[in-house]
Amino acid sequence: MTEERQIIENAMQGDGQAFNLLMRNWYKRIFNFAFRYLNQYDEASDITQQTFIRAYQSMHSLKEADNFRAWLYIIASNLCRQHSRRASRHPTSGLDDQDPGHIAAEPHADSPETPIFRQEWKELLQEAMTRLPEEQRIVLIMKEYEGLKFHEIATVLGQSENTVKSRMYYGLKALKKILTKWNIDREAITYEA
Amino acid sequence: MKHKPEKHQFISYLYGELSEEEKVRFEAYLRQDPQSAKEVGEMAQLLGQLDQWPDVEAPEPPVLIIPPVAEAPEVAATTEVGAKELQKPHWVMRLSQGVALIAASLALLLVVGYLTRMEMEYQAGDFRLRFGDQSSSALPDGQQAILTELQALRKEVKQSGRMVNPETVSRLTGQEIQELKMTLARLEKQMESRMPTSERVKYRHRPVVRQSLNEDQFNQLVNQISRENFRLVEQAFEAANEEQQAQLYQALNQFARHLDQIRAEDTQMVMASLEELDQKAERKFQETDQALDVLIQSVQSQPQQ
Repeated sequence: MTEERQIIENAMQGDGQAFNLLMRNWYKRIFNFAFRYLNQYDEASDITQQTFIRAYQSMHSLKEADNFRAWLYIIASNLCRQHSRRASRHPTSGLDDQDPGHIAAEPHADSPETPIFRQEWKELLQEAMTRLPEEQRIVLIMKEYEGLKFHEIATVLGQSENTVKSRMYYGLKALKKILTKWNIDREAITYEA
Repeated sequence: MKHKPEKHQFISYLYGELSEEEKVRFEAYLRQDPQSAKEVGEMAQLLGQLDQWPDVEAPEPPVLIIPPVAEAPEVAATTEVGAKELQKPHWVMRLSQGVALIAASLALLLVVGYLTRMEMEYQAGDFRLRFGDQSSSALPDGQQAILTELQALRKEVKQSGRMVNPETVSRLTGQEIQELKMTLARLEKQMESRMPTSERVKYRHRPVVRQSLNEDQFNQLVNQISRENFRLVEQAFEAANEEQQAQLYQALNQFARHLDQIRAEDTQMVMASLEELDQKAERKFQETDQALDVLIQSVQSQPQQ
C-alpha cells in the first residue's frame, strides 16, 4: 500500500490530520487547475478553498481511495464550471470582451518573425485557453497540465473516453486557430535562452 | 477507398495509445492524405509548446482545526452521527474549553467588581448594577425617615387628587416645613445624582406639586390643571370631529364621483345601444327599400295579362 493511499484511507475514516496532509499535497495542483481554467488568481484561490471544504464534508462518500484524484477533480471542475456560468450571467467588466489581439497583434502583426519570449507566450496561451469552449478547455488542462489519464478525465466528466479524446482534438484545433489568428506561427515562436 | 480515421484516433495516435495494427493503418492514411498529416504535425508541435505555461505560485493552504486523531475513530465507529460530526470542521470548542472560559469570565467579573465596588440589586423584576462607593450616597437614618414621610405625603396628595389631607399638614409647624423644604431639596439632589441620565431628565421635567403650596394655592393649581385638561380634551374632541367630518366629506365626495362615473357609463351604454338600434333600423329600412325596388321592378317586367 502506497503512502498516499494510506493517508487517503485514514482521511476517509475521519482522521483530520491525514486530511490536512492531503490538502497540503494537493492544494497547489487544484489551485493551478482552477487558475488555468478561470485565468483569475483570486477566484482560483476561492475555488480551491471551497474544493477542500467540500471534500472534507463529503470524504465519507468516497468509496475507493484509488478514486481520490478523480473525485477531487470532479469537485474542483464542478465548482469551476458553476463559477464560470455565474460569471457569464453577471459579467463584471467589458475588458473581458476585448479582442486579445491587442496583447500580441501590435508587436507581431507586421513582423511575424519577431521572437515571442517565454513570458509573452505564456500570457498568450493563457488568454487563448480562456477562448476555448469549456468542455474542450477542461480536457486540455486536465490532460496536459494535471497529467490525468484519458479514462480518468472521462470519469471526472462523466463522458466516454472517445468523447474526451474528440474534445481534445477539437480543443487543439481551436487553440491553433486562435493563435494563428493572432499571427503566432511556429516560425515566430522562439524562446529566451 | 482510403480509410478515414475518427477524431479520437488522431489523439490516440499523438499520445501513442493506438495498437500496433491501428498505428500502421493510421500512418498509411496520413501518407495518403497530406492535409491530415500536416494537421497531426501541427498538433504535435502545439502540444510541445503547451508546457511553456508553468504552474503559478499557489497561496498557502488554510489550516483546518480538526480534533485529535485518537478521539476520531472511536466516535466514528460507534454512531453514524459521530461519523457525520467528524466530517464537519470543528470550529466549535470542546466542553472543557467552554467551562474554563466561563470560569475565567466569572473570575474576571469578580475582580473587576471588587475593584470598582460593584453592587448588584434585584427587586421586583428590576435588576441593577452599581459601581463606585455607595456609602457616600446612602442616606442617614434621620433623613431616610423624613424622606419616607415626604414620600407618603406625596403619595397621599396624589391619591387624594384634589387636596392635601388637612390633618397631615396641621401636624407640621412652620419651622418643620422650612426644614422639610431644605431636606427635600437636598434629598432630591442626591436622588437625582443617583438616577441614570435619561431618568434624571424626565425627573427634572416632571409636573411638580411643590410642598410649599398652601391649600388654596393647591386647589387653584388643581383647578388650573383641570381647566387645562378640559381645554385639551375639548380640543381633542374638536380635532377628532373635524377629522371625522373631513373623512365623511371625502367619502361622500368619492361616492358622488362613483355615482357620476356609473351614470356616465350608463349614459354611454344607452347612447351606444340607441345608436346601434338606429343603425339597425336604417339598415332594415334600406333592405326593405331595396326589396321593394326589386319587387316593383319584377312586377313591372311581368307581361300584363
